[in-house]
Amino acid sequence: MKKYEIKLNRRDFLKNSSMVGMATIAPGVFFQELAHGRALDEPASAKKRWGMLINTNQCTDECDACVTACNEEHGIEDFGRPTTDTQWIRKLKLTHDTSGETINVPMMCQHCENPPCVDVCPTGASFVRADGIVLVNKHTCIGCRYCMMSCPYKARSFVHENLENQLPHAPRGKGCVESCTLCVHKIDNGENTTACAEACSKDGQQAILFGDLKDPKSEISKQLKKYETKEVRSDLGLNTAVRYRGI
Amino acid sequence: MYKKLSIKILLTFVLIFFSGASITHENIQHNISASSGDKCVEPTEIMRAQHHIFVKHQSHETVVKGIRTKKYSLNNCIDCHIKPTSNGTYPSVKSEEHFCTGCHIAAAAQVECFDCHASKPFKKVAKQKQGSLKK
Repeated sequence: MKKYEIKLNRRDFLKNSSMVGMATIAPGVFFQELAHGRALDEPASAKKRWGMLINTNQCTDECDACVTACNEEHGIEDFGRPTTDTQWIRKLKLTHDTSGETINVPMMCQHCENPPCVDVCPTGASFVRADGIVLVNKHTCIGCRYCMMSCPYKARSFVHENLENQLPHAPRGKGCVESCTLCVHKIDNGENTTACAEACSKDGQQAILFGDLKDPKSEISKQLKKYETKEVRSDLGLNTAVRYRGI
Repeated sequence: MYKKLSIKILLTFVLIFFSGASITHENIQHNISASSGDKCVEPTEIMRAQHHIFVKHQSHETVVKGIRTKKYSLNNCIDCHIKPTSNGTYPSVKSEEHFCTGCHIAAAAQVECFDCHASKPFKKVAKQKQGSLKK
């Protein structure tokens, strides 16, 4: 009869036990990552690129859940001056000249990979964060509005009024340009959703899908592979993070 | 000659006297919310001298890199230091009762943080704002 002997020296024992330890801890770490995203002290990383897929086939005329939710989330007030009032997301209604067919297109900052607003900014206030979100650093913005002129999507607004009672997670003030932040405070907080996408799935038509474009397992990546989607003004080669179906 | 010298000496003394008075500002009350403990994130002397440096550094970390640690965040300052007045509302950022404004008036330092940032803790503001939101 053969006798099995286990010979372990100190180094092997430590190696093996550490692997067992890793296996025990790893599932916990994984679930924690899913639930909370990255830690508060961890910077945004280029391993992710946040984006949206908007299905215009499902977006209806009457619904404005996304616009209302965005205004509520960021404390955007109506001053009764539609030409200068701030808008981070707006709904466009496109009508085909010949067929008369109409499409509803929610339009906001498209979070380009090569954004013109960043190219033209004289102070470096307009920038792309590591995870692909295009933001305005309001501490450096001088309010010149070059970015507003360069944006092909008219996504940016200049704050013309003195503001009061701003929300802690959405600092906004007169003299700065601002636009959709992809609800960056929610992303940093680990919620990984946006106010418009949440509202659209809850009160609206489930037309907006938010997710990580670099994660092949995310729902948005799967749908991008499955359906035909388009960038608005794809001829400009900006590689937008917001894509549309049905346009 | 002596007259000019004496004016210079006098001016130096006056400057030293006034600059000292504006830095120490000992008469200002420093009230920290009882619910959040009695200690700030750094000793009082360091906070008095360097709070603007901490906050400025943190603003860059948060906006550019997405780091949201609470220690030096302006929201954290506001949550602890801004307490409701006797009638239950938070003091306006324009009034001397506001923790930041009280000192800045005494030190003649004009800050622009609250042109954009919230000057009051979150919950009350959210309730007050409901009516005026853009629809």
